[in-house]
Amino acid sequence: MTAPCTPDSSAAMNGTTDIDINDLLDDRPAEQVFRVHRDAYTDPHVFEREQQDIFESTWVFVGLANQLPRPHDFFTVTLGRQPVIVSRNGDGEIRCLLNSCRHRGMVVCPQRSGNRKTHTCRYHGWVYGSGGENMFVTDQAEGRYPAWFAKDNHDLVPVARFGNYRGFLFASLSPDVPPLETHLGDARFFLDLILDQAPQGLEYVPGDIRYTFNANWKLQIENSLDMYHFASTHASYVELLARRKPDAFAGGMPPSPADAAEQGTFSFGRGHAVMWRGKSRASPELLARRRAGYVADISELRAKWAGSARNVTIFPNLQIVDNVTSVMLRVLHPLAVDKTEMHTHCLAPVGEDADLRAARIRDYEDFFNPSGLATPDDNVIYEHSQAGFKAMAAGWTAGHLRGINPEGAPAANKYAQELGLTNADWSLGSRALGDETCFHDAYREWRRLLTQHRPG
Amino acid sequence: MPTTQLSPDAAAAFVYAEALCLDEQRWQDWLALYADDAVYWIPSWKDDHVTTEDPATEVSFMHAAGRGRLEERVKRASGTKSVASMPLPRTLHCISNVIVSPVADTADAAIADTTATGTTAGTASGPARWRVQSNCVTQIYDLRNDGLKVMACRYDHLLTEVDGALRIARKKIVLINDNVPTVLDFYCV
Ligand code: FES
Ligand SMILES: [Fe+2]
Repeated sequence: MTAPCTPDSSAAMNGTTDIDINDLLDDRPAEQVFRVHRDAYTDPHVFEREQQDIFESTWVFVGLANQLPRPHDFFTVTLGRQPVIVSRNGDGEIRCLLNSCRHRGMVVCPQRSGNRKTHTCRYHGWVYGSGGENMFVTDQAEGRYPAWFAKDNHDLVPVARFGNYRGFLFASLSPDVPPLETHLGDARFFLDLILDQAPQGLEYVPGDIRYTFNANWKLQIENSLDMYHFASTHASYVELLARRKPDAFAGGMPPSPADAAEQGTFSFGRGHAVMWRGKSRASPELLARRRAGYVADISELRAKWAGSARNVTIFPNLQIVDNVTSVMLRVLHPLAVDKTEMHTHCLAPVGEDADLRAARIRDYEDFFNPSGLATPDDNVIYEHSQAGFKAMAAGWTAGHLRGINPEGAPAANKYAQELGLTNADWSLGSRALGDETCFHDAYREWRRLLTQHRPG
Repeated sequence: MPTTQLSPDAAAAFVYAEALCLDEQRWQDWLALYADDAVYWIPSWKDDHVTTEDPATEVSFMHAAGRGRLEERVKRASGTKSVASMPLPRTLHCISNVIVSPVADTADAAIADTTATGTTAGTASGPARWRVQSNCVTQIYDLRNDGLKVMACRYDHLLTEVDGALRIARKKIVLINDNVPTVLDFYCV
């Protein structure tokens, strides 16, 4: 074990833009050390690197295919800093295109969503079809362009890679990525558990929720996998649940630590991880109703797991919290080193019974959103953390160590075995366990992406 | 039959009084303005200019059916267990553009329906009800960072009489700037 790092230990603190990412992650498994430097959350140069080498270089989640039910439906999103349009063309094919006119760069489609056969750039009137194909260059016939121009391609530029995993759409601005299924790896098992609850697919319940917090995006990545914070950060939520009469669908309190012995985490490589709980707040009646809605050919084992609760992180920008009582999908969109925008959705099976749908929406609103009874506490915690990171003189934090000591941990994970997740890292234990080791994969992927094309 | 007239001045005074309860953090006085079965609703937006309309099939920022749900929020705001409420911001609610109209059909609790007509309030079978529309701009001073945020809202109150006193049967708040910075709670709007 090395001595605790002194505050001046980081090259990133010397004021140059020449950051050595390896100085920000102290990852020595053999010595049971895992530390993330404060600069990783506060240095604007690190943020610039993250935008280029993570959000604009790897697979990122963009939305659901069923946001575009009809030909010519579209929505717009931002990948890293780059605006894109996701559009279904006349042949029904979904395309993901850079939302920037080939003439002089202007955003071609300013709306968040809609249905258009053609997109006309408002500056000089070039026209693009719903698949991005250039259909018209204003006054081209006047002959003011060189001869080669007519032979050149002026379509909206597609993203380098675009993939659809069972209705979940992902894009990469870099071609240097493995196939989407390879990228998702065994994390697919936990996406499948959610998808298997919806024979007709999953949809966003209408209603856009967007909010910001003044803190680094990685705090959100960590917190969604952090079982350790629940009792303290969400004390007021737990307290008010205890005062409520249980209703038919949600059985009052979250499971107690003793009641929740079956739980743990998995990490899958490439930054993806899940924290799972065998029990949820769902009443037996709700579990039975949900079970009746699962895909018909689901195995008993998978049905058991579908009825458990889970927080899934697909690095770097997708998190799904399936509490059984409701399912929340959020998309992270970092705006600055200390500002993050969140888009959150209530995720639901298409064709769900009206009473279940209404209860799902209330349960979702109750906890999540900047207006819920729990998420605002997380958001404010992130902002206090960001403020606290400025105490550079205090040196490294001990925020990623819990659970790293294998003593007393079970030697085998029967759940990994029953699920066939042989390549995943895991931890196992009661709610009180609150392992932070499930964050490690995200930081290792973070370091890999930030260093793969540049030394350090 | 209770009073069937609510003057524009009296309607405005009621909405101002509610705002003052919030700004002075007199939470119990604020709660007392709501009927037991009051509905408090902040829809979200589903399009550039269209809010969600049906809380049973669409997502709202808040949909509190019954004063009990508001009491929960007051408990969070006044207790010591919610970090989002510590410290509470200072707020200043500025209300304008008050329009009062009687609601003829008491069964029509959907105050999203903007077509309420009629010149006298109440019916033979129910208490009088009035729709009071107004604009509210709330200045929120965040003591954690000395920042000032603004929430721009359209208020839509359905007022009724309970035991001779004016009470809120339903309040719909349309939040114009819906990309919310960090926290949205009842005192912010
Ligand atoms: S920038 Fe689009 S037509 Fe000129
Ligand atoms: Fe939380």
